[in-house]
Amino acid sequence: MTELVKVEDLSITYGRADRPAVDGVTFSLAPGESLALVGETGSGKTSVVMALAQLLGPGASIDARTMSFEGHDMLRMRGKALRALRRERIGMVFQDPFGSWNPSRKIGTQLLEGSRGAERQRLRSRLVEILGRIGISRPESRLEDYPHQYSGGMLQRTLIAGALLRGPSLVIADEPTSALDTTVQADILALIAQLQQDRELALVVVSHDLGVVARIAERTIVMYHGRMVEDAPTAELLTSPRHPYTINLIAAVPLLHGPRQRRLGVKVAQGLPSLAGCVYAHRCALATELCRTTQPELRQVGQAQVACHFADQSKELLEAAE
Amino acid sequence: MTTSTTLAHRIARVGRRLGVRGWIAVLVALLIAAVIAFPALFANHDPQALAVTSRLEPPSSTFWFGTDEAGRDIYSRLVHGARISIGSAALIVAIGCVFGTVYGAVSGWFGGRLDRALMRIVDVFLSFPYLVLAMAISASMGRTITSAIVALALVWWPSYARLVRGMVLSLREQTHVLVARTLGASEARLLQWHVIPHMFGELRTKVSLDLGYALLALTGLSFLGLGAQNPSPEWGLLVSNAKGYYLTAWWYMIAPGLVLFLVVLYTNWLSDLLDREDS
Amino acid sequence: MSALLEVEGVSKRYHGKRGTVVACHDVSLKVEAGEVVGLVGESGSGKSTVASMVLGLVEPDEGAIRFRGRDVRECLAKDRIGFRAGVQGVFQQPRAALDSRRQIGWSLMEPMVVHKIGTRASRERRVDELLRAVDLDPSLANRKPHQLSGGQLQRVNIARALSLDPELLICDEPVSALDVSVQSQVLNLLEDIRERTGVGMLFISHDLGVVRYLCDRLVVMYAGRVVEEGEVDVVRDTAAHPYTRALLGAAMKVSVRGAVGVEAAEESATTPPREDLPRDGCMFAPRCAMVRDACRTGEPPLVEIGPSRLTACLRHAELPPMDASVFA
Repeated sequence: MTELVKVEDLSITYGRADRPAVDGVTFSLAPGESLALVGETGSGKTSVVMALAQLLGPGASIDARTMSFEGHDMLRMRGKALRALRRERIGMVFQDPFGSWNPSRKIGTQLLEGSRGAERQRLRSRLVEILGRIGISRPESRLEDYPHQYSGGMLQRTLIAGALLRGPSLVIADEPTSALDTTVQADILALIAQLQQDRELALVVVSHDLGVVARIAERTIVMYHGRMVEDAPTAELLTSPRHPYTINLIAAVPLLHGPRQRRLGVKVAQGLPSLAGCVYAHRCALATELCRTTQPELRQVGQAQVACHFADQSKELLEAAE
Repeated sequence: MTTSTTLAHRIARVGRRLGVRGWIAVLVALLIAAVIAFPALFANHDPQALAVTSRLEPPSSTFWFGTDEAGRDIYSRLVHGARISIGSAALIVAIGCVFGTVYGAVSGWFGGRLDRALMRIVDVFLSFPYLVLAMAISASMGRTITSAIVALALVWWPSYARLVRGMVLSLREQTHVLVARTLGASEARLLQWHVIPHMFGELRTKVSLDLGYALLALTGLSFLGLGAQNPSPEWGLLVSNAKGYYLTAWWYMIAPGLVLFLVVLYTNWLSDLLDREDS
Repeated sequence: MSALLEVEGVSKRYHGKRGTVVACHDVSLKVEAGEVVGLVGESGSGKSTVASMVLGLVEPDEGAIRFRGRDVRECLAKDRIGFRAGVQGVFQQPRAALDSRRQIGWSLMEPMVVHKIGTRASRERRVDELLRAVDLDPSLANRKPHQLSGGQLQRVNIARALSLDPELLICDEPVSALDVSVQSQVLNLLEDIRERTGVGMLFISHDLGVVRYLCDRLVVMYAGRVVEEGEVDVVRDTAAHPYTRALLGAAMKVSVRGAVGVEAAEESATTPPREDLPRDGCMFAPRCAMVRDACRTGEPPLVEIGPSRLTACLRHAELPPMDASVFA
């Protein structure tokens, strides 16, 4: 099995919405590879990973040609088998380190939940070892503490330890550092990058922050309104973005170094979204009739896959439009 | 800035928002209001007309709910009694709500020692069993419906004070209130336009629920002899009078009891409806 | 000529069940007319407390705050309306800053109503003008906050703040809760406003990139104290306090420029929980790689090391220059 994760043509629709929240998402992940899903609110990036782990509620209808993890068909897995697979093979790290804990129970108890007897003992010593390795001092006694006795950074590290506890092959991190201070963020990201390399973990990171993505993802998929607009190696994406949305996203970041920016972002239009054509047409300064009627498919441009009719000239065209 | 507020538009918008349940609630409320305002339209007999010959007659086509021990039509007495019972209950809740709201708002808004002192007084009132209070007031003011209303209003206002104080305490710290303050709004303006309007939802729910409870408390007092006195057709009093005849003239007790039950059921349902609309 | 805003030796303490918390201690800063000063710090730095005090929402325990040369307490007592027209705020959560029960137009008219400006008709026209000035369609005046997006709401808030033509705008993390593309639009708007009206700003943020875009000067706070001050690019290149260096290091490591190779010369620094802050000496001592005994006895004073260049580190002269060659 070469691909740890394989997703083909994933679509997700919530309730009776008239448009899908996620449409036509396709990607695969090799063991030990790191991938980022980048997008803003409403891009569908979180839905994709939640669907993969089968954590979406009954109100979501998931449809895909393939959605497999370690060879298991995730679309068909249910009940005990699913829960076991998720628990043993997938580690999840969520956004809010403070809200992810029950304030009235000890950290150790919560991390070891569901295990008993000999297995619990084994997991416990493993947990202590991991906590020590990731920078928590005196981990044995720390397990007896309550969440309020931990700082945000420590809580997030502990969550990561919990995610790694059973030796998963895939870690899914949804905005793992958004709730943390900048200096803590840098540390946690360094930790994640390190752990991923050491243990050859596959990593899927969901983030709205390109800086985070630059730090820990080899490959990045940019999503907009449920569709993939660009899929490229991260370094390539950041230096030579091809899709107008990606170009805007990168240009919108205020830089600390380099020449002083006069204005942030590139020129955008102010239209209203429509159901036909390219999802980004209403905001794109380069949009033509073609863009509004025909949805562009992902095609290869350099090292990237881009869903834009003008992918090979977009950068020049946008500069001209300024 | 154009605002589309033609009368037809507004009615249509309200109509759509109400829904079926909303319309039923409104119609029942209107019905009750009509009975209270124009009892003569609904009653088909004189509630005070004595007729020794037709005492304790069971329900018939002339006397829909039968007659009482003095030959009076029970249905008509019920209709006329609505004004007294429901009207008094409404008065109790109105007094309690208005006074309690102002009290609680002042206490919560200014905080500090004033707040602590005012809430201490509330604690005292809340620890009074209402029956004891009612008896004490009746003893001094005499046994009338007025003394029952006074007693119950005194019992009712503290829970409003507590509720409103709590709401004001949290609303006071909300960002939009702070922003309004930085814009230059005075304390009075902040309270009037930014804080109190946000309390209407919860107050509405509580008021409708309380109407039912106040009605029960009031009729209960009358039943015990501490409220309305004969020959008033107050509902609690009717039940009290009926208790002596419940074996032989069951309709006499059932009628006011049933009507009470239905009205309180309605107020509870209404409160639930309002509560759900807010969330 | 006094500065537009002068904060002098201001301290604020909060007394709670678990003891006293020092929100800020001996904080001083200045904003000249037309200047944009950035106030940078992480959670627990005290920057939001400073904002509340400048806006007159909270009173300092010590020190003074002067607007146009006049103490804020005096302004509020004698000329409340004038002060309120001169200093306005924009806050972090766009939705929370608006009354959810009122239409946008109502909220935009409120300043005019409170300050008794104009007539009903002229106010409605002004609302249209204000919306257009922030690139929003005037028809939004009839909508309620829940019908608008975060970015639109923040622009409404900015429009409302500017409607009284203030001289000083206090922005407390105004774009932190917004998506990057929306953030860029709001920042562009603030820059335009700054150019058009010359309004002075105290801009609070944890994001150094954002601060560099908008601000002329920068003030860095840690654990309630000012630790460094200076022109943005100068501080960036010659940071003279270990905490500033830690912030800069973190920003470089998590940058869209993707300079993964940047190694941390500094130990990472997070403001620890208040209970764990040292009782004496420099607040940063427990986390500092350059700490000496002298740092732990008595708080280091804020000293001037150049024209409007301040630092509170005893060993600032020994700090090596920041290496940003990766970004060249």
